[in-house]
Amino acid sequence: MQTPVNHKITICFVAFFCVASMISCRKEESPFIETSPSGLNRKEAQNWFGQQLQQTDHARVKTYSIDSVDAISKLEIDWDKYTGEKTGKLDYGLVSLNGQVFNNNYQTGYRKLLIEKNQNDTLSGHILEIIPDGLYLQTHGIIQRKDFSGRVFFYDLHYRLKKGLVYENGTLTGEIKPSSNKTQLQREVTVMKVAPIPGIDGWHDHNYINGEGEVVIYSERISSPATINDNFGSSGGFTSGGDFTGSGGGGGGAAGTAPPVSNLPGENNNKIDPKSYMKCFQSLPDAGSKMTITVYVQEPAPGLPFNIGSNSVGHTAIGLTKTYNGQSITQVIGFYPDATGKEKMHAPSKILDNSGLSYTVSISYTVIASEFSKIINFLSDPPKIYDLTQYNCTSFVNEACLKGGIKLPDPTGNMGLGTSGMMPSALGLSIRQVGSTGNANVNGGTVPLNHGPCN
Amino acid sequence: MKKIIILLLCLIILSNITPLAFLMADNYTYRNYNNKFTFTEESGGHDFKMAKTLYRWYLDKNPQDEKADNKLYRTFKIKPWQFWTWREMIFNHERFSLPYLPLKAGVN
Repeated sequence: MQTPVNHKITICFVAFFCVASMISCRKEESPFIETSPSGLNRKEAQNWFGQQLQQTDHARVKTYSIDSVDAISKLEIDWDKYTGEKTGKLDYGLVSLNGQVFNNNYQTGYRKLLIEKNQNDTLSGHILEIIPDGLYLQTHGIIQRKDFSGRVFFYDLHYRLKKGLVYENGTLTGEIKPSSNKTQLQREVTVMKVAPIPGIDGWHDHNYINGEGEVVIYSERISSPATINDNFGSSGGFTSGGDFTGSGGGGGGAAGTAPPVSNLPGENNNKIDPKSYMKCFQSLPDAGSKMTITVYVQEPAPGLPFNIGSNSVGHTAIGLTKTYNGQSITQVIGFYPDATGKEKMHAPSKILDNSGLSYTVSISYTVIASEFSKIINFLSDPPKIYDLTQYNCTSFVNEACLKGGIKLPDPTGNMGLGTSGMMPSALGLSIRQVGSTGNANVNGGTVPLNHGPCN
Repeated sequence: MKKIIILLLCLIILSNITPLAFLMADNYTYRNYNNKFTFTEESGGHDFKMAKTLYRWYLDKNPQDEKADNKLYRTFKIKPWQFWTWREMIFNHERFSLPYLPLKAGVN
């Protein structure tokens, strides 16, 4: 029979558990703009845009010029994605545009068309280029006006930079204008290495590549929110509300969406290009070189057959070393899911640099150049999919070794629930059975610093 | 009621000692004072031990940062209600005892 105290403890325990589950399993906020029944309606916006297109055609005929007026006619608009918004006295509408902002092949931003209704009921439009701050995107994933950090560039419909705004955690902290020295547009795909040029009144010149692939030099200065005016048009600014930045975060590549988080330059420092790592071995000649393959295993529970332990689920990495005349190159890499949470079960794969990996056992093999080359070829172009049970880090290393004619000690073990597969715990135990007589190290250690990528 | 408690205890234990914990784990992240060193834990070896090793190597290469502030900071918040992390909190508590510094704080 339960005492009242026991009963209360039980109720508290159950209540705590339920609350914890609810808190931890809550869904992310919707990444999409909340549509408002008010705001500039789609038909009006569409009519206005049609008129702008007609005027552009007339201008083209009249001036025989194509480049200056062509930007608007190149815009592809999916009007089904149009949303009307209302902020105070301002009615406006937003729609995603084709084309994204890239830098060094990484998507860094996205574009939208903004159509606003001024106080005298006339319409005007701008192309917005929204470039979230890298750290903000990495930490938030979902882009929202209320906590946005980054830059919004305002272009006219002929793709001339008019102004821009700088945000920090949802607050306006700076403004942007075309560079007073020179607004340079170049059809190039490389970023100009221009250091910020200090100017008067705190304006500094910077540059970036816009959605048209042009290098744009602009001036930027940090100001207090109170001193920043939206000097464009008479309709006031967007500083007090409105979610013109809003978009899906981390979605990966559709027009008008935020860049995928993992694709930002420098944001996922661990993810590597295996080709560039393997290329380093070309710098040493094959003839006269000693080539070694080392398999490093971090067992989940060292020396025990458990699949999870103090080292989580463990890991298997592969190391390649080429030594010639005292010169040595070592690269140690591992195979991972490029996902988080339960998505890790089955996800696109990625290769990580395993420098500094703390391993519990390892085993080494000397190979000849042709075998080494086959392993390099496999590692340079790894399988695209990671699967926790079917093709994980241990399966990857095992396959790489087989390409080079190396048969590893048995990496297969019981995964639980009646399934078997390759896993670090099983490989670790098998290596321990081989012992030091078979070039195995059962004392563990730390993987040395890799050579790194070669271009 | 006893059965419910036993069931909940089983769930807590299972979520901590089976690969469920691996699937539900957060990616713990770390940084130094000026954000020039950052590290994200990943499943499979990219763990706190590796973070400490790489940070040691970073400080060796950057003595000026070692002099300025050699502390490693955690950038994640501790969420004690996540019962599947309790084992980590008990047996690998060092990462949770690091000072907290949000990812963007103090970055120019």
